[in-house]
Amino acid sequence: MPRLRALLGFVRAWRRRSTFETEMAEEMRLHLEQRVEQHLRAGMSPPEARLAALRAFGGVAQIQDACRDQRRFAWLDGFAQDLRHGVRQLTRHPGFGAIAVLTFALGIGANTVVFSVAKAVLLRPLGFDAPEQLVWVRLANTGTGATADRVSWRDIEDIRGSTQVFASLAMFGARSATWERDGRLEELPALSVSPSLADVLRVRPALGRPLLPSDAEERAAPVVLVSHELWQTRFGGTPDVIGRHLRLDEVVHTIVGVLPPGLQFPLARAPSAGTGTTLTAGLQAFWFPMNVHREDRVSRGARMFLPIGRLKPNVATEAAGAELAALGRRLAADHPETNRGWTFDLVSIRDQVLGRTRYGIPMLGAAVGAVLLICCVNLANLLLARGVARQSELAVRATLGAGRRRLVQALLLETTVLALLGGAVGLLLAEGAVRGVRVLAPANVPFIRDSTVDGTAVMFTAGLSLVTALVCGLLPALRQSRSDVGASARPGNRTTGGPQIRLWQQGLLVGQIAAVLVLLTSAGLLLESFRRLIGQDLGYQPHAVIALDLRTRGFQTNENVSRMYRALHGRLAALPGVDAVGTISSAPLTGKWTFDEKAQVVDRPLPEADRPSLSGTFVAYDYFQAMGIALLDGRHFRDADLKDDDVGPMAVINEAAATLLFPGRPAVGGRFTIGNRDRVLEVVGVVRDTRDVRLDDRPQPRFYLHYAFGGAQVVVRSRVPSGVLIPLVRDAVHATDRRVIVHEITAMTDIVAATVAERRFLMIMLVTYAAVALGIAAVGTFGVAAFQVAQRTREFGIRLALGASPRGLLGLVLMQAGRTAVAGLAIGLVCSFVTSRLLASQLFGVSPHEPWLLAMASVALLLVTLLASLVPARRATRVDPMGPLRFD
Amino acid sequence: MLILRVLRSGEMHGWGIADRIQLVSKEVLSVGEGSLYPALYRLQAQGWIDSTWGQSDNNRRAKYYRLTKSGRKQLEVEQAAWDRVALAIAEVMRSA
Repeated sequence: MPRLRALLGFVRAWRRRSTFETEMAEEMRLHLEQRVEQHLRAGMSPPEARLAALRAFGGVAQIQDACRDQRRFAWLDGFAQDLRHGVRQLTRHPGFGAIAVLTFALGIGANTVVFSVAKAVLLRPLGFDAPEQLVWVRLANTGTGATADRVSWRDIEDIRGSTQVFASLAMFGARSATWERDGRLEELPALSVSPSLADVLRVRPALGRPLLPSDAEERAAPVVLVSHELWQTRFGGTPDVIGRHLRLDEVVHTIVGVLPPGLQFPLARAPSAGTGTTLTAGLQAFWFPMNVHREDRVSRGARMFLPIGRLKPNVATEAAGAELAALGRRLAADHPETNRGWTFDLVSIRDQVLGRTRYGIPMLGAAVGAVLLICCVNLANLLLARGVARQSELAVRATLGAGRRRLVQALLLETTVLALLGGAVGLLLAEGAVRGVRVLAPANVPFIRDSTVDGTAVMFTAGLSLVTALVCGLLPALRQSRSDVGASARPGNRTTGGPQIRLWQQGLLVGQIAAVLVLLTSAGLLLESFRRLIGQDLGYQPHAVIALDLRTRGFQTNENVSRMYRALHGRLAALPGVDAVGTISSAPLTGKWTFDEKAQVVDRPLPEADRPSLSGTFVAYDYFQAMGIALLDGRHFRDADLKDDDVGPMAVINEAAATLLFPGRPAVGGRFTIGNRDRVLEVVGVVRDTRDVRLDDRPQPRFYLHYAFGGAQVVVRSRVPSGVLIPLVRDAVHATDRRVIVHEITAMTDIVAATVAERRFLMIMLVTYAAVALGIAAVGTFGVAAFQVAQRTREFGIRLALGASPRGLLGLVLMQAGRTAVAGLAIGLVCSFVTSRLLASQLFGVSPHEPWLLAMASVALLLVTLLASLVPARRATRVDPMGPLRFD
Repeated sequence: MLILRVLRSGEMHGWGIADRIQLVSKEVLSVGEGSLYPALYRLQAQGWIDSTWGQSDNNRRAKYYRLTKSGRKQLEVEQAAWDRVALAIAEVMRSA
């Protein structure tokens, strides 16, 4: 009730406010008149009576003021008054206002950009029920830590049987389906799935029924689920689609169900996550029941399946991971021939989708936080300096009765106005920057193209502006509202503002320099990391090389495919400007499948558990020449040896394989077998190691077999620019055989760039922010130095008059700046030690405490600081000795 | 508190209140205008007294103040508190 009463009182007072002044004046006047009358009646003369009455009454103006303060909304009036005054002050000093607003805008705007990006990337819903329960299961090598995405059927059965952590577990594999309709062939992306995938993802068919275990049996009738989108566009969205027949991959399938709308599975994965296995992310046209051959169900080593599981609701990912790792160890002990050195690993789907960006975004957040801090320091210094100039104004206000609280309130209000203006400008800047991010950011940084500056970003900006205003403005406001009225009126202090201000300013500068150093070293580390990563020897030369991805369905036999490649090779090699053409079943960094086999050297047999594992791929024609992979020993494959229907008995291995299989002796001529096959392979050549999977992985031992495999990629090296080459290539493919579909043509340099896209993005952002921070710090240093020189003009004048040389004064100022810088650098070095350690996971080939980097950053910052102080320092030398002495 | 008590007897204008307090306290307490008016305005802001313009006895315009219901309650509260304090002081003075 008291609150309600207070509110009513407020409302009443508000309504009366216009009459308040007149009523009060009237009341006082009448009171006074009454007193005068009393005195007159008592016998005084009119002037005496008036005097006595006034004396008894007291100071009318003070009393009225005291009454005004008693009003309910007194503070509101003061607020409005201060606001108007503040705005007037700003318009009178537009330079100061502009600089302040701009600094706010940069600091706050930068934060808004990162906020928008973070919101888009980190908080984007993944489109599944309880996505935090969904995890990928994969193999992890206990020795190297490398991971492999595919597991075997037996692995899955073991997991299902021996662990309790999964509510449901499923497998799938990517495939494409060629749909034959009215004589036309169309190729669409699809998945082979185990029936439990619908349970794992918690999706129910929009129509019809889900896939059942009976559909996956060997003699089951071929059935398929179609996507919602396909159903709408090709089947008219009618319910009679159930039971219709489709000719897919030359087999008639029956549609038994329609998937729910908007089902995007699998999700696009960040290139830094996973082992480079490509999956067509997004909408799949068909779901086929996974048909697994009996031998693949039994063999532990047949690692062909991608498993995904949903954890039970109360199971934490770490606990599940631990249980799976324990299972992995048990299996490694029980079945060393397939499982030794491998264990199981879990990754949540969100981590897979985000990849490196998950750590990059918080890092960017810290960076812009530092930028904002630097801006705040600048602003605080700016306000302190401004306060000195306003000292007389504030002294007058204090004398007229403004309490400390009121002065602080007034000053903070001014700062808040500046901050909000700056926030508004910053919002505009952020809008532009985010638009730039949307366009320029690499497509495979997940979700980044969705960044927008929306309502929440506006609220964030407003909130940040208010907080910043408080942080920047509180110190100067408190300093300036101190009631040494007398001190400020004294002549000496009118322009210097006292030694305390200088101490504060220097202190703030030290902090600023430390923050900039931390940013510079972090940016430098990332930059150097990136440089080293892409500067590595890849083992091949991606420039001037394009890779063709072909689809070869409908060729019936492998021989036909081989013959097609032969003809294609002939045509492409004949094109003008083409230097070499070759085929490979898995081009570097494209993540197409390779097969891993255990190798057994013929004359040095080892037990199965100890045999080294190599990854294999099929090449034909001039692959190594086209890719620019150097031949170190022996010879290349000969085209004459290439058979159309079988793999040749020769193999080419890379250096790593050579040292592994034939240590200490030349590999050429050596013979080995792979897997459990009887076929003996003879090494005819040794080539350089290549970085095939990820740039930051060590090259794996590899062997190359001679065969033009269906679905192989064609690699073309040419001197002609790709714009000219690509149409010619397409024509050549079409002319060779109309059944071949060119799925994709990519330049190798683009493929390489795509794998480092996330790193590059983060690096560019951080470097930009560091540069901005350096600029702001330079401006700040300049401003403070200029201010202090202006403050000390009197002192300099005296020094000059007493015989100091101008050069000496210059040295004095620079020494001061240098001292501040060194103090800042010292603190900054300590801080960057800590932050560099946090960055360690993002670095490549660079130690977090790289000394020369720290040294370079420190020297650069020192130079910038000294340069920034140079101009004001030179101004100090030109001080006219008589001027300040006469002025004061 | 004193103002509230004075107004309990009836509504009054500013200088009337001052005169009354001075009179009843036998000249011991004299409320100067410097503290009277701010106090009146504060009490009004709190909602314990209310004011209206009217005619005084000698046909002058004056602002009359009167006690509100909550003001009456507030007076009781303050009076009780004052009595407690006065009693305590008296006890100490008598027996300490």
